[in-house]
Amino acid sequence: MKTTMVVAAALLASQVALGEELPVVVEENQTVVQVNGMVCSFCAYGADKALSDLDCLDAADFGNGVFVDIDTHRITLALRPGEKIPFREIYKRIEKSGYDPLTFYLRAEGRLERVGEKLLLTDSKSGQLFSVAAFDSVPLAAGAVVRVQAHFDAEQVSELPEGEAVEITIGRVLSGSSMTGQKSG
Amino acid sequence: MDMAPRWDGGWGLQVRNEFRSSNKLLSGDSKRANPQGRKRRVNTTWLEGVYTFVREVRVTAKIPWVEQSRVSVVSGSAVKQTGSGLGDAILGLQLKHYINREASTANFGLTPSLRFPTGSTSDAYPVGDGSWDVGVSASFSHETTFLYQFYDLSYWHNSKGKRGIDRGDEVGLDVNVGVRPYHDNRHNLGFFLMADLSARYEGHGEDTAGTTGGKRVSLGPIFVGYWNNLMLRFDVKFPVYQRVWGSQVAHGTEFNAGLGVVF
Repeated sequence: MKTTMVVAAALLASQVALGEELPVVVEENQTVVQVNGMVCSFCAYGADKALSDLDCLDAADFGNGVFVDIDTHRITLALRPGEKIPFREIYKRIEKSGYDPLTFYLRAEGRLERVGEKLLLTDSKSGQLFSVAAFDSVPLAAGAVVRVQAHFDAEQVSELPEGEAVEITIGRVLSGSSMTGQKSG
Repeated sequence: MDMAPRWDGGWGLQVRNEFRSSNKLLSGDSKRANPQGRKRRVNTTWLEGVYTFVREVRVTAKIPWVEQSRVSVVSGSAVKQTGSGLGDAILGLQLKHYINREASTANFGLTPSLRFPTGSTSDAYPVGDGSWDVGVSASFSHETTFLYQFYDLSYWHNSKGKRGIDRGDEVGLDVNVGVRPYHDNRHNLGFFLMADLSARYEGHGEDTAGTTGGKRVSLGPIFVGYWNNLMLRFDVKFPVYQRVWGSQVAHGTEFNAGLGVVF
């Protein structure tokens, strides 16, 4: 009976451990994609093959700029500094390799600007424009200069018109941000 | 551990060797005396190819090279018979439906197949049967980073061939269940350990040496190692139950070894 309980507890603990999601940390000049179904070695090979010739990649990192982690089901892309991230192209290539992109994670830094109803963030390094949809953590003000880690639902880019800004949710404000500015909404 | 390429335009090749040998004579499911030394040895090397149009549609092709020999009883005397050469090629159309979840991937497959009479029937122990056969299989596989399971149910309708060869229809069930104890993300290197269960029912048939068919169940281990786009597989199928129609040499333990690559 005691053994059964210990085994059951161990099984439960292992299930909790398996179900536990590791926080995503995006390093400088990287983007991370959470991918459904990315659990096998040939998945990793297929995704690697599909993405490794993207122009924006820094091949000095991970051997070819792509790192697939089947334990977390994430693909990390090392980017050349100052490159815009071709989210739609990445989405299409992962999908063509047989898997379903779920969430993009990225870093961006720059001044928040209010344009009409929208709060916009232009990345000062790449010039890539993002529309800020929401904040997971602290509210930010228009005019603030921020360094943030953000994410968005990958499905969004599949139908996004060319050149249109993706709508990001700011997950973390990183050090080096200046929070002064007008209060947003 | 779906080892075929899932990406659009992907293709792969595998060379697989299958060996079995037996000198055990069965009558039904009972072993009986074998004073004339009846035996069988079959060594088949398969060249298998796959091409993925889109992840839901693939074609597969495989052609065997067969080297085989047997001792049969012809007119009361034991006679050694051999055969070698290209066997009957098989073409399949794999239709898949994938379900990708956050931490798992699964797919349902349906594969109609056609077996061509490319093998010669002229040897004393013919490597082909001279017939066009049709088959269909339905499969399900589910995989997480640690667990793998695969189920396949197949059916072959064997039509009448040449030289009186007329094998019965065949129903098969294959189950592979196992774990991946090791995977290295940096080098995309790892291995699986699995258990295989195979069951076959072959209808009553005839070939150049007499009755064919019966039913059998085998169990055994599978090892699959991989490194990037290379895959190595070994498996052994130990017969745990066999019943033959009439009197025949047993199927024997089956050894498989394969090396595959995808692009």
